[in-house]
This record gives sequence, C-alpha cells and structure tokens, in this order.
Amino acid sequence: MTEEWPYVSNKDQYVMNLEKDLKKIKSQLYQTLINANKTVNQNQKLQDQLNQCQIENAKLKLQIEDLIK
Amino acid sequence: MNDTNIQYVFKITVIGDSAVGKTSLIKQYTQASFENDYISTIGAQFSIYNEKIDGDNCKLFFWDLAGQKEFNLLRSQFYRESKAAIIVYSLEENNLGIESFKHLSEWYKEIKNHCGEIPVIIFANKVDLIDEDNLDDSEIQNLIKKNNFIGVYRTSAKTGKGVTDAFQKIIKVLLTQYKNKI
Repeated sequence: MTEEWPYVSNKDQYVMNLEKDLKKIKSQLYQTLINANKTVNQNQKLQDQLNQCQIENAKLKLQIEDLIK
Repeated sequence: MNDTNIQYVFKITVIGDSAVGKTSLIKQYTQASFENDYISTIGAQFSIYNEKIDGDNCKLFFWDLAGQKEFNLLRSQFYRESKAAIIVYSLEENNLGIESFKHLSEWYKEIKNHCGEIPVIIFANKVDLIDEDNLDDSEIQNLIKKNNFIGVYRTSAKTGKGVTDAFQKIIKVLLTQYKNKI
C-alpha cells in the first residue's frame, strides 16, 4: 500500500476544490460590492456638488443679465 | 434656475428579514417582472434605475442587503451615505411573517446607528397571500407613530400591487427634502 495518509478520494478532492473556489468567488464578490458601494457614494456626492454649482451658475447668470440691463 | 439641468441621485437601502421579498420588490419596480423561484441574496445586490418623477430626473441606487445573520458585518458597510431606507416585512400568516414583523424595530435600530435620522418607510409585502379584509393594522400603525416612519404600504412583488406607489412615495419625500435644502 502506497496510499498517503490522510487518504483523500478523487471525489473528496473535487468537493474540496469546489469549496475553495466558492470561498474565493464569495470573497471576490464582496470586494466588488464594497467597491461598487464606494462608487455609488462618490457618484451621489459629486452629483450633489454639481447641482450646487449649477444653481450658483444660474444665479450668477441672472445677476450678470441684471447688470447688463 | 429654469435653465439648470439638475439630476437627483439617491442611494436607498432596502432591508428586512431574509425571504420577505426585498429583491423581488426591487425587480418588480425596476423591471416589472417577478420570479417564482426564491434565490437568496449573497451579501448585497444593487440596481440602478433612472426615473422621471413629477418632471425631475432621478437616478436611484437601490442597495438590497441580505437579511441573513451571516452578513451582519458586511451589511454595515453598505448603510453609509444612504438617503433613505425601506424596511420590508412579510404579511404571511406563518412563522416567517410573524418574525419579520417582530424584527422591524431591530432593523430600524441598525439604520439609525449607521445613518442617523433618515426617512424610513415600511413595505408590508406578500399582500397577495392574505385576505386584506381580516388584516389588523393597529400594531404597525403604532410602530409608525412611535418611530416617525413615513408610513406603511401594502405591496405584492408578485402581482405588482402597491409597488410603484410605495417606491414613489419615498422618492417624492426625498425630492421634497432635497429641494428644501437647496
């Protein structure tokens, strides 16, 4: 007998590999989700800033128009 | 300010016990579809939806957070910067329904801890599975008064009943709040 101990059948090895892959995929998914969340937060913040700038811009335009009159 | 091209971006978090229909509700609202097979969310899922509400361009980011306890740690990361929250429970007259109702306060506590005072709305889902005439609303109404929630909406992700009204209610509250600030 030249079997190594602990003996792992091909089927067991296959399941072990699948479990390992699943763990890896889950970890990658979580990382992707965390990054996506950061992007969403940034997007929301930037849009807020852009809205503020647009409002300011519109106000300034009105003031310029008044001054020209 | 008529020539401004303002777009409203809102991150909205959807939470509640597992299997109450959070993912299905978002799918029904954003894609008008429903899947009968239940596939539990792993960690979180997010959807982008562009909608014009009362003439305002809105970009909505819905974060659908898995209700299972094993995601407690991960979930906390996703609450940050949420503008509003939707807490879903099930109207089913079984253990899942009863427990999901009992846990509403716990979900609210979690939101408050991470987001502070943001608008919160309750969706009472799976209304298609019960007889609405026999529904006693007193307990949920007390909870709404006590915590100053926007309200409770009966929804069915399966039939689509009440879904659009419920989602649009929270978006309109956010729009009003945002416009009052600027």
